[in-house]
Amino acid sequence: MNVQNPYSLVKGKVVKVHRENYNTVSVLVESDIKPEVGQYVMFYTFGRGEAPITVASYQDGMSLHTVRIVGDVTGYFQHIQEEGTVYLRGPYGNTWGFEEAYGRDVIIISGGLGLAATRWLMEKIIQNRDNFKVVYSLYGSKSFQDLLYKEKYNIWAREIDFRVTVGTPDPAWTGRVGMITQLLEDIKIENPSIFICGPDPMVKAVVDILSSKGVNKREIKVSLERHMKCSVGTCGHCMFGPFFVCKDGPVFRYSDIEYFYTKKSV
Amino acid sequence: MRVGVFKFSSCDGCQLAFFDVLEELLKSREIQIEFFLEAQSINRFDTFDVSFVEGSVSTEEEEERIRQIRESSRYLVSIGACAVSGGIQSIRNFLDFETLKNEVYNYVDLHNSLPTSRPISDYVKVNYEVRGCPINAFELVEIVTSIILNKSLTVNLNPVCVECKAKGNICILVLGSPCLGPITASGCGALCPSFKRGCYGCFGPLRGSNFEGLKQIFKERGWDFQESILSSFNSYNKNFRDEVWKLGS
Amino acid sequence: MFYIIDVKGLESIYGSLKETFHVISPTLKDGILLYSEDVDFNSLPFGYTQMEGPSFYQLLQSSGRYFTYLRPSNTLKYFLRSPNMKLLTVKRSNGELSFEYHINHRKLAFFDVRRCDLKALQTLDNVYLNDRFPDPYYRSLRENMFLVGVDCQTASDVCFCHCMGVYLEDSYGADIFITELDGRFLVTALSKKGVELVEKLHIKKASVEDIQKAKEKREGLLSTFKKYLDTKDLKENLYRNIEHPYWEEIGKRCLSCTNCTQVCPTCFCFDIKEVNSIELDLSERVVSWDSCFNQTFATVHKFNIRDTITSRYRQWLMHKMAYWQDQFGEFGCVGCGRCITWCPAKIDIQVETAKLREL
Repeated sequence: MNVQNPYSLVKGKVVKVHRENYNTVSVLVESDIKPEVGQYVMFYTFGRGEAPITVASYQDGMSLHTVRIVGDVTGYFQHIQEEGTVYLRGPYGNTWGFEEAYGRDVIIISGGLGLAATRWLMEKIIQNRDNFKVVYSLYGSKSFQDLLYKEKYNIWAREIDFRVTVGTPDPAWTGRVGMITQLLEDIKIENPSIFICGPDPMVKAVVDILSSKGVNKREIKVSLERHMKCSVGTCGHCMFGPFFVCKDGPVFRYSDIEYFYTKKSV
Repeated sequence: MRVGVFKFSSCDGCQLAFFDVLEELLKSREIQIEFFLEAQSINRFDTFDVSFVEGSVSTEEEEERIRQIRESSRYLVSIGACAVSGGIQSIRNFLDFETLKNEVYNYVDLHNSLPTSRPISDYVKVNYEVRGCPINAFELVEIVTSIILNKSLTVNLNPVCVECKAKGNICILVLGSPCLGPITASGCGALCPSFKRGCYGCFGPLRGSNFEGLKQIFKERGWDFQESILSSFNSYNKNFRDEVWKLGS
Repeated sequence: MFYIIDVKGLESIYGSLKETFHVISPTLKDGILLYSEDVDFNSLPFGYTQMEGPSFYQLLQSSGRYFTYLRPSNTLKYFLRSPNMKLLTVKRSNGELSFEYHINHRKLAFFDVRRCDLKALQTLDNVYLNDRFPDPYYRSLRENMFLVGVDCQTASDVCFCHCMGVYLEDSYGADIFITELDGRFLVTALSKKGVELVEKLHIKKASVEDIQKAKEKREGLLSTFKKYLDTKDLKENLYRNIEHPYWEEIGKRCLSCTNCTQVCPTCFCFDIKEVNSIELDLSERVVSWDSCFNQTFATVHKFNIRDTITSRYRQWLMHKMAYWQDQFGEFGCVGCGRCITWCPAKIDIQVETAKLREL
């Protein structure tokens, strides 16, 4: 019997490297992996191990991955070269399932590196713009230095209401300063479909505001981040309540996870 | 990679681990051993990418010397229970030094010890601590490999019990041997429990382990917990110190 | 198909398995019963019995019967997914990597597996196989396996399999099943492999009386259980009490030593470690047993989500008794009681679960 080995790595070619900011790079990788919106891949680096990295965009066999250089595996991306080789496996996890927002208002909320997980979703919505009503995309960054995809804001803003806020004032930044929750206060919300990716405390704060504005928690989808080793639901590391984030997620309907998500240390 | 190996107050046993794996270490063309008094006659004290330090600081001269080594080293790795915790000689830290000195030595004035024997990390910043009395030579190779690869050295936070069960052992604490395994850092390969002897904690206390819980179990079984800890070479480890003081009271 | 044999017949079954398989059977090691490989028929601990209780284990020699002992202290997972299993070897040369995957095709036979462990194996199957990504390492060993089930004669003080979905009528994938009658053994051949093996030995068919007698023996077992856990609405009750202060009480006692997860026949969590050569031309990816009790288990960006022993104990019990039901439609606990025997802190999962559901 020929069973696909989930740990088999495939080769990818680094087509382009783009330095996003002081600790984050985006790499465009050409490989046989065919992801869908919301999924992630596992990158392997020699002697260091693997790390789950979201697919920030995909087109014609090329996937974009935005990596913050913090650990051993991601540390490898510090000196990554164009034309170089990378090894990866996947795609894994479920998808954003944005089709359910057809004909409705959409709010996308991203915090920090979470924008990498919502970028492709945004692009898909822009491609199918006529299928949606009002589309907001709110992005909060710790500081001006931490902003991702700066060159894209104007392009996105032509099609959707894209708003950015940074946590601390900066002479180089002329836009909004403040919390992402403040961006939410300003917008009119009418039976929207909501997609969130960001740090857990941000997600909780945002959901509180949304539900105080009468949004049904079933209409909120959240992409979660947890420790992962196998990514196929067997190593147990990503377990969160009864869920395996690696295969049941990373995208969850908030109403499904709320009971466990709001409990400490689950 | 320029390497230095240094000795402070210790028995030299951990330096011997280098001899056990020297062939393996020298397979890497990256490694140049610049300073290692126990192993070579020509030594150069300049700057080091990695300094391995054995032994505790227990004299004023050592206090001065560890600062020099720190200033000259990119990475400083303390090796063994003496360097990491203060060693067996740190039992004096819990006793009255003057009384002790007079009891042990005939000629007190020949003696220039500090009243305490302290771990290296009490004096200078340490990048990584290799546990054990003595250290595990294979862990040494792993650390050197990680440094060459520029991979972070992660602190081991598993108890001995993890390695012990992986070896197929059955819990000897349950079977009636006093064993410090549940509160001791792994890395030894569960050497003692594999020979049906309780762990005596030579790899030192595991941060975040349930010290009180094990104390209760020792008490119920009529074993002397304080004695077990004090004779563990690691009683003065930062993760233990406060607890050990409490045991006496 | 039912057959009747004497102890010589048992020996020929064992011998016949040895011709094709690596046979693993219970044996005595330093006074403890353990599944071991490369032992022989004479090392089966016939006539022994175990006394087990919270943090207590003692072996006793009993009268002239055979399968009077209980399940060994280690589990089948030790052989199916060894504590350190090579997943793949990565070779590096000129900046390019090549990969070699180490799928194990050994043929294993387990002689004398009790129902709790058979059920546990099916529970593991549901984790590793019944999914979008079946695990080829597990699958290869599992498909080549032969299982000889044996009926227990008594339950120990820690056993509660009868409450955890282990039924006497079910043979849980065993190829043959053995029930001890007075000095003789009823052999039930269940699978094609099982029938083939037994037919080869030309042994006597069992009579209707023998089959009836075996059924009575089995039913007699039920009256020997001392533990009981009410599993009706267990998940709902545990979910309700997920933040109850009682968890803290257990957290104070629990050493977070991982004994329970490691002796558990269904605990499957693992880590993947990189083992590198110093020349940095070779790196092995090794699967090693991990545990939800370990402090780095649920770390995200160096921040441990379950940073207290209490939260880690809760994770373990909740997974076994509640989460597993949502994940796989069954319990993650088969009631074998190993974690009760081998917990140095005398934490008894049945007692704690019973308490937590009623709070």
